[in-house]
Amino acid sequence: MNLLGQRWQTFIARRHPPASGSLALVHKRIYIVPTRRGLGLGLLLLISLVGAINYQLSLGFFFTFLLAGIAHSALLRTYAALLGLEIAARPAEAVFAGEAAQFPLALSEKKGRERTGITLLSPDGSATRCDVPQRGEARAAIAVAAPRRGRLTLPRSRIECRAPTGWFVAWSYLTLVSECLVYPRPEANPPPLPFGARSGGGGLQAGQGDDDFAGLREYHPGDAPSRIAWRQAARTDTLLAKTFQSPLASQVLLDWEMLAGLDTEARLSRLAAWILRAEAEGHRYALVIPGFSRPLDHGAAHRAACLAALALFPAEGSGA
Amino acid sequence: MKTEQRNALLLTGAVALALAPHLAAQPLWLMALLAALLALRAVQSLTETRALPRWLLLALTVVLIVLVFQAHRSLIGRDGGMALLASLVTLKLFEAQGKTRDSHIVVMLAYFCTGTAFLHSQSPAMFGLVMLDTVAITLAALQLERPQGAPLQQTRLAGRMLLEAVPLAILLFVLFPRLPGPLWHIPVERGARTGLSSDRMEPGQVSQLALDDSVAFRVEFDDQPPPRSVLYWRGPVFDYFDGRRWLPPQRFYVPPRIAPQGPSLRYHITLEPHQQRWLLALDMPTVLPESAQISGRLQVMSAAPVMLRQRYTLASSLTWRIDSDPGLALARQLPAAGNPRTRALAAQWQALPAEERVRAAVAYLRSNGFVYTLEPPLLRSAHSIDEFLFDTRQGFCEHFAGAFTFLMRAAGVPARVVTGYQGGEYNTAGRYLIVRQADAHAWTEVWLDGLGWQRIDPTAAAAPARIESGLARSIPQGDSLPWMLRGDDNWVRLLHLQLDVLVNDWNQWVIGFDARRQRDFLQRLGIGDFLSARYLGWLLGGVALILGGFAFVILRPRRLKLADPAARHYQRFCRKLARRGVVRMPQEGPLDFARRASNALPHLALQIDAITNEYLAIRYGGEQHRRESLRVQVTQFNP
Repeated sequence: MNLLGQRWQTFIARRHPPASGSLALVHKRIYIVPTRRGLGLGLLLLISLVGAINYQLSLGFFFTFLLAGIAHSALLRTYAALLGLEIAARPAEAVFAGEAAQFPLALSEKKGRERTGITLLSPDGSATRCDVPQRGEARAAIAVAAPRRGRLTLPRSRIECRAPTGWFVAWSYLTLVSECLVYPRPEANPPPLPFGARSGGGGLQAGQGDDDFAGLREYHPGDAPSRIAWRQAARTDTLLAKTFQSPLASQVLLDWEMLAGLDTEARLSRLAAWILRAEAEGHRYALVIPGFSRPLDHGAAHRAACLAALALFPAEGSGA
Repeated sequence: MKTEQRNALLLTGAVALALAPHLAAQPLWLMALLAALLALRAVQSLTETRALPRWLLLALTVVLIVLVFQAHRSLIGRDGGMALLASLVTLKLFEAQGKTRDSHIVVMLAYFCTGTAFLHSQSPAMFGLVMLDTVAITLAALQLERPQGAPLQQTRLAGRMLLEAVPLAILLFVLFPRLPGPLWHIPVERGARTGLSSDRMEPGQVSQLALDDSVAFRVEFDDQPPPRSVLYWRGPVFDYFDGRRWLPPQRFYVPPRIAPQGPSLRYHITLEPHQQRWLLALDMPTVLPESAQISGRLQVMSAAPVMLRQRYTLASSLTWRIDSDPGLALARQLPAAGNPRTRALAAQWQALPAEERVRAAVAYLRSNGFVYTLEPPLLRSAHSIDEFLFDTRQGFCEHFAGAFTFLMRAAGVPARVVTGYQGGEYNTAGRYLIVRQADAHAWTEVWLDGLGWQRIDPTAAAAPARIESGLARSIPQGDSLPWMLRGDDNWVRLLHLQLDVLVNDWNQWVIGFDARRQRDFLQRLGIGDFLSARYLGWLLGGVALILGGFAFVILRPRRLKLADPAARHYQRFCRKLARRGVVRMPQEGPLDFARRASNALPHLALQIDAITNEYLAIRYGGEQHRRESLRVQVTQFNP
């Protein structure tokens, strides 16, 4: 059984090589079998046929064959729902370990058929249903559990369809190359943020604090919309961002070395939790970990860069 | 209405439609109970009441099973089994409330119930009902898988699926091997007998049938049909008289040999089911159908009661001789006493030869003012034959046949009563003869040495028109008759005959398509037997052609249909240019394309510009009235 299962897996892997970007469901890739309900219908057909033979019922024969024809008609439609469908992977948004990664897919229909009841199944069994309009596109996401930080690749998933009758199931395998970044799981109750821990001294540091307006500077991607000087932008045709001065106390330095004594994953977890908190509370923060550092800043882009560095930090014992 | 309500109602309706033909055949109380339950379910789905509690459903199940068993003494077989199935499907419908899995089971059961409706009737009307219900059930199945589907679109899909199934169904209907008999013995249900009775014959019995214009059987002759006056279709024979009634033979013996004296006449009878064993044959049968036998009284008997419409082939000779009959003594039986006046009349002829005695009796019936009528006075006396022959002198064929047979026996001539049908109506539209229940008749057979059993029809003596032109012309005007039996050729009647041709074709080619018909048909295709390569070729080739054809049609990409006629015309223009190698790029605007096309085909530049301007004016300028001009220009554009 196990051997058979392995054979099947290698067979499927060979038939469905990884495709980057998008793939089209051609007839070689689609499989179809009757469902349990379909087998029930088969049994019904058999009983009707025996009944028709025994009672010499001509119209009983006709009815039996008519039902078989209807079943065939349903089979073709189930198959047609997948045939020629094009599926492309869209960039996945990063998640934290322990959450489910959502791999968005675009299903596009170019053959002029409305396709209903398309179901995407991830290997862990979560299912998403969607309908693809005629010559249109539908978005759906495959949810995959992301237990560990790092890069999560979209595993081989199933796309299937039981419409219109539920008597047959047609399916194919999605082997799209797509990745999702998984940030470390943030520590649940981290210690307070280490304010100004290493830079020392008091006073004000001109820059991008929060409290007092200090002037305008050019807009950088990642600046919060509330910081954009809309009035000036309208006059000058360039986007400007307001800068503020803030007390040193609201500057956070997140340093790997501060967390000596914890193991790598625990450190990453705490740093992640601190980044989230600093961001939420509006502090500027810098991150220093072996092989990566980022100066004081804040905003979505900064946050993403810092968390990505944590996500991709070499695991303990990996030698990197 | 919410989608769940609508879908629940649809499923209930489909089940009700599937059960209707079965309920019509069930006892009234079961019919009423199940109909009430179905109505309750329909109301429930409309008003969104809570599901019936489980214990109540269980209790109802038990009650219904007990009641069905009480009624049919069985839970299997056609009637008991169907009653049980109908009950269970109805209850399952309650259990399935809001549950997809159970609803799918109901769908399967509904398909089964609607298919088994053909056990009750295979008429075109039933066929129509079943097809309608098949669409309804398929629609219910589609709605289960896609509850929010648009009803109209889904109905169209269900209809299309049924239509797509028809070619395959027809192919397999014709080619699937039919067996000559059932796989195992079917328990015979005692259905209502129709038509003539073989239990007894007494005054009033045949005349009851005279008002019944339903078809008893249809006949096709291989050659020219014989004249009406010899069309005596032989049915049950009676040879025991108990003083009032004629009873069927009690003792059986080896049938006498019939020596045909004339040419043999081959014909095919399609007999409507009458739930009895006797078959009808033209006097006298010489070649019998397979699996039928002839009895001592020269009746053709089938091996089993005729429960389904049956077609068989016979040959008969219209003149015959029979040399000896071991049962002759039985044909002289008379009660010890009774009907003294009749016996006295017969005694007057004792001295004459047998033929003369017969002739004298016929002459007596012809010359004493006997009246042939559908409404004869009741015979109340214990000497019923005396009363008829000497007092009332009004009767239907069974009065004449009974009295004449008695008279013959009293005069010492062996005689017996034969019942069956006489005549029939020739349907020129379909070249076959329709014999109706109203054509039921009774006559007498007498034994004449040297000739054997010969037919004497005493009714013919009193009312010759009955034999020559049928019932309608031979009874008094005042007697009421169903309109199909009246002689006048009005258009309703002609239409009815045309309709009967359709019914007959349906019976012959659809319902009657059995092992024999299939063999004949396949031989026409050059197929000898089911194992031949040719048969497999037809079967597999046909199946592959049909399935492959639909696969091609359904799986091929569909061309984009543009709603805007102007865009359609423009697309036609682009296709014409594409054939000349100027293909419009997907992102290319009409003006850019026109410029490029004009450069490539300078001699057409004027036309290309004109068409493009026309199109743009309609599309973006809203000048719809220029559409016709665009159509014409595109049509005339021939690069």
